[in-house]
Amino acid sequence: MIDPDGIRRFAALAGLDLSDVEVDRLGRDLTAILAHVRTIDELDLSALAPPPTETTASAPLRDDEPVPAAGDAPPAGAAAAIGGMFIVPGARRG
Amino acid sequence: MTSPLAADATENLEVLRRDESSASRWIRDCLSRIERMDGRIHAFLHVDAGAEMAAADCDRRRRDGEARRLEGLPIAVKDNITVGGLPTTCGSRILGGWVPSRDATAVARLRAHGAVILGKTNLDEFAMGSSTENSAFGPTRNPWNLGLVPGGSSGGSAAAVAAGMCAAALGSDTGGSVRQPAAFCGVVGMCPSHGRVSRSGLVAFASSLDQIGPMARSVRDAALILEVIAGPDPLDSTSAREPAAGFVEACGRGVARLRVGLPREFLGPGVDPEIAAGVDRAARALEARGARVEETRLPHSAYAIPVYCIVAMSEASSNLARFDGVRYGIRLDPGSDFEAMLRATRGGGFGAEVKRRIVLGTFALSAGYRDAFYVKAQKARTLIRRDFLEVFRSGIDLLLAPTTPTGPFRLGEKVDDPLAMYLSDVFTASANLAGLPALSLPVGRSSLGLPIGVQLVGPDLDEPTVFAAAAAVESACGRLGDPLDGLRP
Repeated sequence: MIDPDGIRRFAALAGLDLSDVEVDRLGRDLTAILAHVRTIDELDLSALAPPPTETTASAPLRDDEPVPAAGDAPPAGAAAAIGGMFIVPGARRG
Repeated sequence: MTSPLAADATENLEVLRRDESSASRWIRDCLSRIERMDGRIHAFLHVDAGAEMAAADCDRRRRDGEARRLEGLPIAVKDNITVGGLPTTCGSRILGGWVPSRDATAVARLRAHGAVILGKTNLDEFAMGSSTENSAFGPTRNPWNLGLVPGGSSGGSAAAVAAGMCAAALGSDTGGSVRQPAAFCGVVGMCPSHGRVSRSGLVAFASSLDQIGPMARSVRDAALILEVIAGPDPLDSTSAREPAAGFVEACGRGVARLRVGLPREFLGPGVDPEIAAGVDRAARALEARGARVEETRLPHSAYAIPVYCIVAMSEASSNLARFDGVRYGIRLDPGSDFEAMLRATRGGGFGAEVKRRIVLGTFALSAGYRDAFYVKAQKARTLIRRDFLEVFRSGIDLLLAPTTPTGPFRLGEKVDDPLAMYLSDVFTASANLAGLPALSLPVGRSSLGLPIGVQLVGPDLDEPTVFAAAAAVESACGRLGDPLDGLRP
């Protein structure tokens, strides 16, 4: 069972506003779906290699914490940012 | 040319070649049927006002001796595939007002061969569903019984073809979204091998599974359209490099000495006896034409829906991150800060099923659960694909199975039970997970008068064998008639 706080956390990670009614409904639905998904646990998967996405050292995963899309200190390689906005070249000059 | 239902597209194109009719008349017939019938079926979200002018241009080209292969063919396009200058909604509020500037590669190839785009068809929002009830613009109804669903997510395309509102249509298939509605509406639907058709211009749902495929009134029509839209595309790095040819020719090559497998797991007690009888009818048709039909096994197919749920929803949660109120469609609460605008736009713009899948996919990819769900599902997917490879390696040339366990269900019957809805795709999802070509075709009607569909699954990139067997079954079972007797004006 994913409790309401869990649903709200994953919705925040996904950038979704949900009403309380939606949170309750999703909790019930996802619990039923995941119980069915859990039948995969019957399989012996120990001899199988993980998918390539799980072994690529060049694609590290960030923490599962909702953060602003653009802070004053943008990630390395990203455009400059200020006040929660990305700074990009002007479309019109002159 | 009489009714759009009286002949398939191949035959109607031949009528045009003989100068016995015109593209303009063909298009007008389709538009007339849309006008008279679509108020009750709701297959179309948008009809192109320029279709008649395009048809007139086709007639001019034919008079000038410049006719192309599909000159004048009226075709509809599922509304998650872009047509330059027409709205693309994906059945969602969130894309409101978005008009893409360019054609998807599949659409561009159809146009380059003379096809006329009639309009955009209804679908479950972002192709997520099995009944077309998840469209933000209301459900499509099954032309065989307006109280029933047409299947989904390409339900608008299937209903439009079945009702003769177009000669053929494009759909997309991620877990059965071409084949299941084809079975429910009594038309032919082909999900090609992964990479066979460019996905450039297809709005991504689950990229390792999504395919564009034709929906048509006959096997040879589906082969013709696939032959036009398939092939390598520099705009899609995942498109297969192998040339796409010989699909139409394969429809006439017969099935002598083919070995056809009947997977035992697809014919258990959960299958409607009339559908099982349809599979038996198809098997006997193949045997009568020289094929050998034998039982086989796909031992991991029971895990197809659990694996599909995790893989498809994980990919969906990533693919749909791009709908942020900035680059496409609507923006809600634009006066607040960016984060609030993002959450409000996505929370208000997406429907319930899309939000369900995004949250589930985000959960399955999150640090605490990734190994337990996503990684495990990907490993199980390997087992599902291996089952198919081992069957084909053993000498079986293709598989025959039901497309769906039951016939079309009532509107509203499963909307409150998402798991029951997902299980509608229990026999179709495994071909997507394995990346294999699979085709559904009608083999008759049930005692309730509803279409019965069976599917044929072939080895990777072996569409010709699938078409050869499908054409043999079709020649024995015949095509279905007009579903719209009760709708005639």
